Amino acid sequence: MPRKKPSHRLKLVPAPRAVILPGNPAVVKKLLNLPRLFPRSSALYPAVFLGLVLASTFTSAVHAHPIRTSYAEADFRPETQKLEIALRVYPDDLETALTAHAGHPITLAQTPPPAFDLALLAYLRATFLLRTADGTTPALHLLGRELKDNAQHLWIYFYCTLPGGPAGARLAHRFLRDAFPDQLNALRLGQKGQTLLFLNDAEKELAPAPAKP
Amino acid sequence: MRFTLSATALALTLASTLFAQPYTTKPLPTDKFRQLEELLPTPNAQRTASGAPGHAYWQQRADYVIDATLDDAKQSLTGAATITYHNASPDALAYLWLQLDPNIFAHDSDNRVTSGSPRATPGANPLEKFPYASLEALLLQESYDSDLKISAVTDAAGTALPHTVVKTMMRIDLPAPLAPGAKTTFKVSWSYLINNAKLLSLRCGYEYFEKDKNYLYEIAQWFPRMAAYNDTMGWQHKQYLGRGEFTLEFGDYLVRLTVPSDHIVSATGVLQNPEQVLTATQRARLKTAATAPKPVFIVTPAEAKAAETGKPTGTKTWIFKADNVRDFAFASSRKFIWDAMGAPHHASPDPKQPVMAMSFYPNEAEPLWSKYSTHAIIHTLDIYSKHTFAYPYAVAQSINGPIGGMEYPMICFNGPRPTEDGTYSRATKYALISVIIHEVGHNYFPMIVNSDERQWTWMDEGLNSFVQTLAEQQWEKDYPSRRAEARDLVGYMTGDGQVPIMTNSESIAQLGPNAYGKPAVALNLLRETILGRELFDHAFKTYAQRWVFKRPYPADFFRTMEDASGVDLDWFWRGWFYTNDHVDLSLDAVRAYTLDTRDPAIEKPRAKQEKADRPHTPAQTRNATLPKRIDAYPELRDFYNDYDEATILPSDKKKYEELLKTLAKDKIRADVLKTKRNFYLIEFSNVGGLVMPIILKIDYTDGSSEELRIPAEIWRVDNAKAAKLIMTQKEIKALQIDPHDEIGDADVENNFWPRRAIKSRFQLFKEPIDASPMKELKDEAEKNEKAAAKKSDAKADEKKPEATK
Repeated sequence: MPRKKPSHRLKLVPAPRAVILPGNPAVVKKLLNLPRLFPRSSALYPAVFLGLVLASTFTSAVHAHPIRTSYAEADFRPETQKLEIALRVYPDDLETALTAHAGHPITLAQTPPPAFDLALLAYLRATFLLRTADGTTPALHLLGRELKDNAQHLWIYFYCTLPGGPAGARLAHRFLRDAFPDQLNALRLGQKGQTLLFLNDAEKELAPAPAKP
Repeated sequence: MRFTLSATALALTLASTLFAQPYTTKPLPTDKFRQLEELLPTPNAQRTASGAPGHAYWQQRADYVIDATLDDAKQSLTGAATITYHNASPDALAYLWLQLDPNIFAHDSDNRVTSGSPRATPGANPLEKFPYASLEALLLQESYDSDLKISAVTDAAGTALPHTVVKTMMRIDLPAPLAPGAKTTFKVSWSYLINNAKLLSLRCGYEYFEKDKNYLYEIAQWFPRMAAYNDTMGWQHKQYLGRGEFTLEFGDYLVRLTVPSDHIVSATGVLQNPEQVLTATQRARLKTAATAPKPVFIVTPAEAKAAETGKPTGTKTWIFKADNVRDFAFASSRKFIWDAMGAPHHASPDPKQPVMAMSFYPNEAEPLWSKYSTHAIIHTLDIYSKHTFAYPYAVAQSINGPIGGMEYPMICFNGPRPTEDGTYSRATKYALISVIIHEVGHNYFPMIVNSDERQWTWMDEGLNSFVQTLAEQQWEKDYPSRRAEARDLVGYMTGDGQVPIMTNSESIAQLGPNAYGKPAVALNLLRETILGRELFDHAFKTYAQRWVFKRPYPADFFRTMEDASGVDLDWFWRGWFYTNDHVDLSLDAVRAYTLDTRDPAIEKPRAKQEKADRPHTPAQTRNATLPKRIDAYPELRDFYNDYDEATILPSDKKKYEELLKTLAKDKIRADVLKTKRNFYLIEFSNVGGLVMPIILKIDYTDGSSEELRIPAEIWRVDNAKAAKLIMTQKEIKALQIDPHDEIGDADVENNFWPRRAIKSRFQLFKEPIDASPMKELKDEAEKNEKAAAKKSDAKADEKKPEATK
């Protein structure tokens, strides 16, 4: 598939109450303070607020795409209070995402391993968003990575301290989705646990919080 | 009022109880082997119970004569079509439906309006990283106007026909119903603005090259196309929402494309006027290419590069003819390099020469495309034809442009390109070969085996993905296929929220794994594990050949595979295609037994020995040394203190002899009781829900092992639990389910007896990997060599100064 060039990112924040109305030129002007693409016309102004439809429907051609899935196994070790994760991805998809995230080419073949690991950890921390039951964000640490299955799969091993275990913890698993809008991420909690499927950037609860007495 | 309300409430409650579940007083056991006939449509004269087209099978036909002009300055297309529609159905048709696919780009199209956005959740602002490209596209949608502008709909004589546009469909009301067996001709003219495929892409559009200011057009879904009318769906006019693709009728096309005079055009069909649009050199090169051993440039990279700076001197009209196709697409650009090679072993119907495999691509696609594209086309024809039928068309083409991957009869659009400096990654190389195999493969499914794509994405995508893997594995050893093995799909299949394969395309959130991956994996399992290659290949080929140039539905596929293989597969279709269960078989227990000989001479000593072999409890051990009363007072001893439990009593003998007499009376040989065998009762359970064959590896204490393949029918009486009695002269040491990792078992830990603690992958990685003795010795030898070399160098240096003196 054609490599995506690093794309500019805008940040849309929830607007203050008073201005959530279509056709407010002052606010729209502020929001549209970006390099001019099209000639400005008054017809454009309401567009941004009206039904913020993700245009990825048009740009992501599902047809003939290889399957964009990742698979992770997460095990909680009560003796160390650590959550250990093994994440399997396609190496070329990872390179695309890391390159876009870092803003310069990152490849397994050419980037020195320490630099690759740094970029990988930064990307993990930006896309594998874990929150404990009480709202804190445990830091992720990279243990290592290895290519397997004739270099078809890259396994990434990382961990974090999760006091109290996964009960009530929430995860937004956005790995690779900024590069591939149709990315499906699967995460299995423990050998016997159910697999959570992450199709979008929304959070999911890893395990139900214990019932309050 | 009150009475009416409560009566209504009661009626509603009753209704919901009655229609929600069958009325039972006990829970129904699951029946995973229940025959599928209840779910599948009733066979009839159009579609038989064996899965073949019936004796009264009919299908419609639509022939097109189209004149179209591509405006390179405005990026617009204007066309006029004469459509002849043949009504082969037994029904009179008062109206006809046509598809106006470019209307998906209309301001108020359902695709735009119903596309959802992710909801904001606590801690997550889904729009925090709003891609710039998305905003560009949103802004473009405001100004970009691309519905199909219909300028006229008339009958053959030119009289206007009433017509109604319903979003992406149009209904034409006929002056009189079209009788069964009759045909009608009408004309439509239209125009529309072609979409910029880089911003608003949906399988077609143009690409603008900033550097040389040229356009490359990949044109598809560009004319009003007849919707399908058939025995299963009536009119298949489900709206084009974006995911579900196209359901079309076969027919003959004659298309005249007017384009800038310096453009090269590739299209469905055979070029009818090469003398008018190709140079003598190009025609000569094409002739050579038909029998060349490798691809030949018809337009060389240098010529294409020179053409980029050229200007057209007017227009040219390229005329293409395609017979028995379900659609027509084309590509046009002055940037095209064109290479071609006749595919050996594939005969074109007309003209009489090998099928021409041809690739069209701009210089930006080099050097990747000239190396791989045409070869990949021919490889696809080779492998797909082997598994289905001979390729029936004259050409097979692959075009590089803005579209990542999309298929049409005889032509497909494929995206991968090298980077600007001409280098490409391993990933890009395999992405290109894979997508070309996939898209050219689509000629077979659905361009020729014409399944209803609007309804069932998996029937072409899943089948095609499966055969694609077969082709990839024959391209080179260890080709990185992405969707081949069951184990790769475990994450998806154990996941929450997945819908069955048998779900309409528009309702599937995870289209890739659902419609491409899971069916391909299922078919691979069917081929390698359940049916075996011989039975599967025969059944699959039967399906393909039965439905060549016809329209099958899922029931036709399921029925044909059973009919031709001789194996009841209802459990397989039901599990894999109708549920979201996964595979997890468990080896629960192993119980060892030996045969009771009933002979007291053997059994009594054995029982005594077993008792003696039992471990002594601490109490027994300590009590043994305590003084006993009968030792102090021997007169307390009697018969029973010295009685040997192994003594064979007359009653024991009598019982045994009577048993032997009974056996003799029933003509059973007495020595059957003395059969020297070990019996093992092995208990399994089906944890994941999908019933699958049990492939059992048995390791014996004598070092030998064997494999027992138990068909899935072992689960037919109890879908959740099964047991198998194994009788062997040997002693079993260990057992394992699924030793070759074939069935995609989601939990490997419960596959072993004795149980093995399965370390997590994380743990395995963390612990030091077993040192390789070979490496260690090699390193040691190298170290010694270096040390020895250093020593001798040092000695030589000591001597040298003497020599040079």
